[in-house]
Amino acid sequence: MRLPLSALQKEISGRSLSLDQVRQYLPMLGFPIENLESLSGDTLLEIEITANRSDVLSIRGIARDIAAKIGTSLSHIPDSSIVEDSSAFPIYLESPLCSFYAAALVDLGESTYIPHDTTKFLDLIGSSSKALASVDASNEFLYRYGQPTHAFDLDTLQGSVTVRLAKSGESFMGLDGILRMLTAHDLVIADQVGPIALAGVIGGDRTKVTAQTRRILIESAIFDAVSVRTTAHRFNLHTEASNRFGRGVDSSLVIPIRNLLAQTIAQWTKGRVTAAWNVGLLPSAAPMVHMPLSLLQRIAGRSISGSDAMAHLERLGATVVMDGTSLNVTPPSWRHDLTLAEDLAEEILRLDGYDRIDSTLPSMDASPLPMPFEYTQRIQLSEHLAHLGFFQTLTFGFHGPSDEIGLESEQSGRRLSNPLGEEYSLMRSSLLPALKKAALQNLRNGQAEIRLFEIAPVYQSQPEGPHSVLTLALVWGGRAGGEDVLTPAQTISPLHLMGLAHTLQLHDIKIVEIGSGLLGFEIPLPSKPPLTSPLIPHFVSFSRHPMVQRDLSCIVPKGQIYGYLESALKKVLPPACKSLRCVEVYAGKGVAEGYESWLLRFQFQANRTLTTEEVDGWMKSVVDLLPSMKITLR
Amino acid sequence: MNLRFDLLPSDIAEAHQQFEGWISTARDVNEVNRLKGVFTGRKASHLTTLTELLKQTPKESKSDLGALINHLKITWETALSLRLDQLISKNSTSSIDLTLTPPVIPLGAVHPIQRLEAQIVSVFRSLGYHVEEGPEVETEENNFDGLNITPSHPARRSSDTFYFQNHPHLLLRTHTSPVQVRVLKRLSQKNKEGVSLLESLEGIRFLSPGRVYRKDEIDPTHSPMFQQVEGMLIGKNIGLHHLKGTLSYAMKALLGAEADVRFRPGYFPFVEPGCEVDVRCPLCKGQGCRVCKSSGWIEILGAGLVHPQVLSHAGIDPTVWSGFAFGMGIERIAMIISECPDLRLFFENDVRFLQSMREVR
Ligand SMILES: [Zn+2]
Repeated sequence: MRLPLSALQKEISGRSLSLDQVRQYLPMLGFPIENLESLSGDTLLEIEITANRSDVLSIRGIARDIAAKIGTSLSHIPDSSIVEDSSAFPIYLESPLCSFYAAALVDLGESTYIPHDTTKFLDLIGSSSKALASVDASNEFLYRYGQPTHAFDLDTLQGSVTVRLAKSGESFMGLDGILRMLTAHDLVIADQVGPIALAGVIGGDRTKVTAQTRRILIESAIFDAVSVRTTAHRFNLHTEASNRFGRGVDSSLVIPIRNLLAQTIAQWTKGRVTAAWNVGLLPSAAPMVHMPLSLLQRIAGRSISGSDAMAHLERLGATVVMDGTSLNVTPPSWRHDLTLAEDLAEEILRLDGYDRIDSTLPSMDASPLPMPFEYTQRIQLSEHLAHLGFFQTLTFGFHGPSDEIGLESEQSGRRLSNPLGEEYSLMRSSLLPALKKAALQNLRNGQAEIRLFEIAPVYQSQPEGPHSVLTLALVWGGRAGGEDVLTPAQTISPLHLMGLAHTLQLHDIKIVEIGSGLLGFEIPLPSKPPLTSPLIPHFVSFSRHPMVQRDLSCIVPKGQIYGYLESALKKVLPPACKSLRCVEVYAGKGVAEGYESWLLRFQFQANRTLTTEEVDGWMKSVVDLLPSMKITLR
Repeated sequence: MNLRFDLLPSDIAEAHQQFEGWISTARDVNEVNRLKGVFTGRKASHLTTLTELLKQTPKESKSDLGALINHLKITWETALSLRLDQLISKNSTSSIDLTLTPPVIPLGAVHPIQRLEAQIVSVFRSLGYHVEEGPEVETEENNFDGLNITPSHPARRSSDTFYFQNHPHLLLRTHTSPVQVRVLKRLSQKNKEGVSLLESLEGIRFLSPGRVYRKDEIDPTHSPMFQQVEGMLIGKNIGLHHLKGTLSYAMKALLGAEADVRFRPGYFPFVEPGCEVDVRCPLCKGQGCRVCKSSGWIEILGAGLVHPQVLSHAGIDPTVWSGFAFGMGIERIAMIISECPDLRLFFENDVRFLQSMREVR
């Protein structure tokens, strides 16, 4: 909200208010200053206002909080009482959504004078003068005091004015020149022809005040906040009026502002107020709130005396009665947000200063609970992968239907009704499309080898809604090595990914080629630990006896698959054979055409020292088996 | 374990003494293979001699000798194969040129946002908080109703919150606060003796980190997905001073001893009183800089005392229990501390960015 310093100072009585004070108090009262600039010899502050405070949508409302903080009072709203008489124009309140309607008639004079102070104020606030007394005065009081008002050209009104719900199918042309189709939930002001205003939102085009207008009907009313909000939202029409009515206005201002507006317009135009009257009833005072002082003490963390608490609340305009160890508080008409004892405690502390709250650690008595497995797993697995050279990515949980090509998964339950766009319309069933995009982008950026992973939920459509499964996806590809004399260049192959999966103890992975030399896999992560994990793993004894290693170089016909050989050999090898690996495959010089040389490495170990003879025996059974597979020793 | 070199026959002991020298001066593969025969060959080597010796050794020193033999075997075999590799891999006659480009051992990185999240979690872990996680797909009940957010609240609009086409009551959570609702409902459940879980635990304190979604177009300061960490403590007689003490401790642990917190009034429907929490600017230590717009303070958290309506909605008696809650956007804090100018960098997954955010400069 825009706040000219001079206008703020004008509302404060009895004390001068410096810019420094304003800059100090506003944030501490809960209104952070967004911007501050010098403009037309004044200082313009822009402040942020929280959604619950309808009362500070005016200069006076902000001034009221500052006055309460520094212990002074507000200046009076210019005195402009009018003798009220009976209705001078028929006004009917048909809907309970409008409880009170203050009206006045003004005959406009010939003058088109608008005071310089008003035009300057409107400029500063960001709403320029419309050069019409009734419009400019209405706007000035809206910003100064927070009560929206409206002026109709009386000579355009047909018959009578009724505040009622629109009939469905009824249309309405607003001041903005837009024709809107109304619903039976929209509150309107209507004459006998049709709607002339969307109540609390915008006036109508047909009855608007122009330079030719001679007589006006002034409206200063109270409309139901929820109804105004709903209508404003339905038409996406958020106006200064709907913003204020939608949060609740100060009922005590409705009549004084009607009077002030009528007299101001009469004065500026050299015209006269011909009638003023009210329809309906002003709302009664807000319900009393009971606040035990013990609650205040608990919230504040220290004792605040009943009389201090009472003084703070009274400075904010509340009526307070001390009742033993409690306060009975009637909130002022402008504070619709004070309904609980906690709300009052906040007000007291706000005036007292949040900076005066102590700083204490709470008791540690409540039992600490264990960290959940899924969280620990996510953190540990990602650290593990980072150490293995992989980069963790962070991608959105939704993607588009085109990302789902090749993924067979029901989409209907995963679809958003209001996505940012088609490309973000589905909760993803796989992390790989996003990882692939990231990988390709990095390849284009000149990375030779790609190592990426993400741990995030993927979704399945289920009757009760999208079902999430925490998933690890990984992409590895491109060319590794070749950047120094010791590391030969190599292309990442599925064997690399299998080795990685083995290291990570991931089983049953399915490696997929995702194009551009990229490989990947995706695997759901367990939601429960395999065993209840103790602080440190259970001890498993291991052999300290020497390990015996034997290499066997053999000539294998091309096309033989290592896996067959390995499983055949494992059948004849003893449990003492702890490892069997093929460590080299060679074809070329020294090996006949159609054959390869395989170097097999055996490692034996047991809970005793193995003898040369027994290892020789095992190796012999290996050698004996080879001819049956057309394999010879090199 | 002390190795008993005194058990070695003198010739082998002497050979072992010379072994290092012989190996390092071995000029070619043949010479190494000769040494291999002498020391570890399968016939008539020092190793076979020792194995024979072991068979005749009296019981009491058998294990000592066995250990010594094992040690020598590994020492010799390792050195021999290393030297052999050296001689084979390069036809160089001397050791490798150490001015050559060394190989790079590839190192990846945890995403900076997760790393910051984990640091925040570990600070609160030291205060006895544990982690509670909740789903990204939430019910309107948990995301709004249970948090005292009125049916007409603007945040519920389809212009602000993502909803599901075939499941109108489901949405993508707009904050991690629905985890509060889930935990509180669980805690209010009573056992057979009529004692609630909350009573038997005597209170609870937890953090809920996670991804949240809001319908914002992607730009340098907005993203439809980001991460939050929320914290909650429920106990008896909890006040704003406890909230201040906790956040002050946590911010000092995270940002350094100069970090200080400042409370200002704020408004969130699920807390009352509510506050905005500023932290003394970690970049200028409160002196005033571009990042803190020369105020010396940075708004970093929203917090407050848990609204009685939130407690009673979950079945917890607000006249007995009270507590506080706080929440922060991780990307926001990351951007402030790192001075990273563009939020989109965190979601682009450019390895050059991830690499640069790994190193602390
Ligand atoms: Zn700073």
